[in-house]
Parts: sequence; structure tokens; C-alpha cells
Amino acid sequence: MNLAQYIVEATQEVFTTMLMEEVSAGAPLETRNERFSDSISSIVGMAGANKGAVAVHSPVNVACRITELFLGMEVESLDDDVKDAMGELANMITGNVKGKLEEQGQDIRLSIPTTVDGDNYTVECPGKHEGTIVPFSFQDCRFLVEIHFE
Amino acid sequence: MFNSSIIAPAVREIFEFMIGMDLTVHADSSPLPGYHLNSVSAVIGFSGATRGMVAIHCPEQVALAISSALLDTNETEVTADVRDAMGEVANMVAGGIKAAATEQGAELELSIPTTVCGERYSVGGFPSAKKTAVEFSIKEGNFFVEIRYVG
Repeated sequence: MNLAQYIVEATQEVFTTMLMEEVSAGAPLETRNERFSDSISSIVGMAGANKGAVAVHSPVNVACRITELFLGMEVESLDDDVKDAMGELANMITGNVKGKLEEQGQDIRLSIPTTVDGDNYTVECPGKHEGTIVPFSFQDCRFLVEIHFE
Repeated sequence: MFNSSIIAPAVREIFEFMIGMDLTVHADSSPLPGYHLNSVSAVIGFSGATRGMVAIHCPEQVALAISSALLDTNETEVTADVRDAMGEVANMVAGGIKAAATEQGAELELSIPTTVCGERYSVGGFPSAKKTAVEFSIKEGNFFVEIRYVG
């Protein structure tokens, strides 16, 4: 199972079809920086016979740009609209990954998104499972999408 | 569905029988803080009869005490071991709540846990979700168990 490929395809499909924006994927990160500053992370759990989680990590200014793509209006600072938009982005990416995994015979159901924001925080998925984190960029914006799956 | 009468007994049972800690349930919980300061949170998603998440939010000194009890060590800093232990505690608490939900005819499946820690962070999302938070005390301080769910 190539989790990085699922993440790349899902993220690009969501951005192209839902946000009308092309995103470029970089190579999966070899070392994961677990600490985030002035950022927002949205996490969707995958439950069922096979368990996992997908997380989108974005600096606040990039999250504002992504929210502008969603809403079609200017967004200047982190507010509830930005948190909702990043939760919805994680939900859509995870839903796309779910479809791909179900084609491989996996049984998956999604939790609601959880959104974390802060000045300086860590997010980790502890435990023994396969995981990868992929950087994406559009215009001058960069963000990360991560998956862990048993 | 997930009111304090489901959460409190499930959390108490996990703490007393699996972690080996006595705790006090606050009948009148304080409001869940908007931002958690110098804290560790562990979140686990669920799906099935309803979709949602269970989170445990602990100030660092509470997370250190719980982790020390679970690991039978003396944890003094929030290390990867402590964050892993808090993920396991979330797993156990969510498992207890899942069992209580099953008794009421609601089958749930759990995701893997995610841990968050930092000097100042918020944990939220899905504003239309129903929310319940229960506050507990151990001698090192207070902590919250929160459930958000839809449907």
C-alpha cells in the first residue's frame, strides 16, 4: 500500500475539483518535524476494521489563503471560518483516501474533524502503524498532509 | 447520548482498574478552556452509530502523574513516552465509552489516537457537533474528558 501516493492523489483531486487550485506535491519527508508554530492542524480519524488518521498541518497564513479559496472572500486572520475550512479540507482529503482504500478492500469509517491551533505545539500519532507526511505547495504557500494507517 | 452519566463512570473505571489512580468527578464542571496552557491532550476519533471524537485534556503535571502511574515510572518531563502513554489513556477511555455506548445499543469503532502538547493551543472543530465535557481531579490537579459527536 503506497500511502504517500494516496495522499498525493487525494490532496490534488480535492484542490483541483473543490478549490480550483493546482497543488504540487514534494517527496515525502524523511524526518518529521513534530513541532508547529503559529499553525493549524486538522485531524480526521479513520475507524473500522482498519484504523488510522489523516492530518493537514498548515501555517496560519496559508490556512487563511486556503479558506479564501473555499469562501471566495478575503480572510485576514485565524477565525472560526478558517478553523471550519481546514476541518472541511481534512474531511474531504480523508474521504478521498477512504474511497481509495475501500477499493483495496479496506473497511473504513470517518470521525468528525478535530482542529488544533496554537503558537507552539506538537501533534503526533503514537503507536505502531505505517505513516508518511507529504509537503504540498501552491503559489507561495506550503502545507503538509500526513497519514497513519494500521 | 454522551452525557456525564456515561463519561464519568467509564473514566473512573479506567483510572481505578487499569491505571491504578483514584479520581474525583466534578458534579459541576468548569467550562472547558478555549486554549490549553502547558498541557497535553490526546484525541481519538470514532464512527459507527454516530461520528465524533473523545479527548482528554491534562495540564502537564497531571499528564506526568497519569503517565507515571500507567508506566510505573517517575516521569518528570513531557517526553515521547509521556505523549505515547497519554495516547494509550485516550484509547482506554474511548474504549470504556465505546463499551458504555454498546450497552445502549450504539455500536462505535475507534480511530488511532493523536496527541497534542504545547504551551498554548486550542482543540476544537466541527462547530455543529454536540459537546459534553466532564472535569476530574487527581491530587496533582484537574483534567477534562470531552466528547463531541453528531447524529
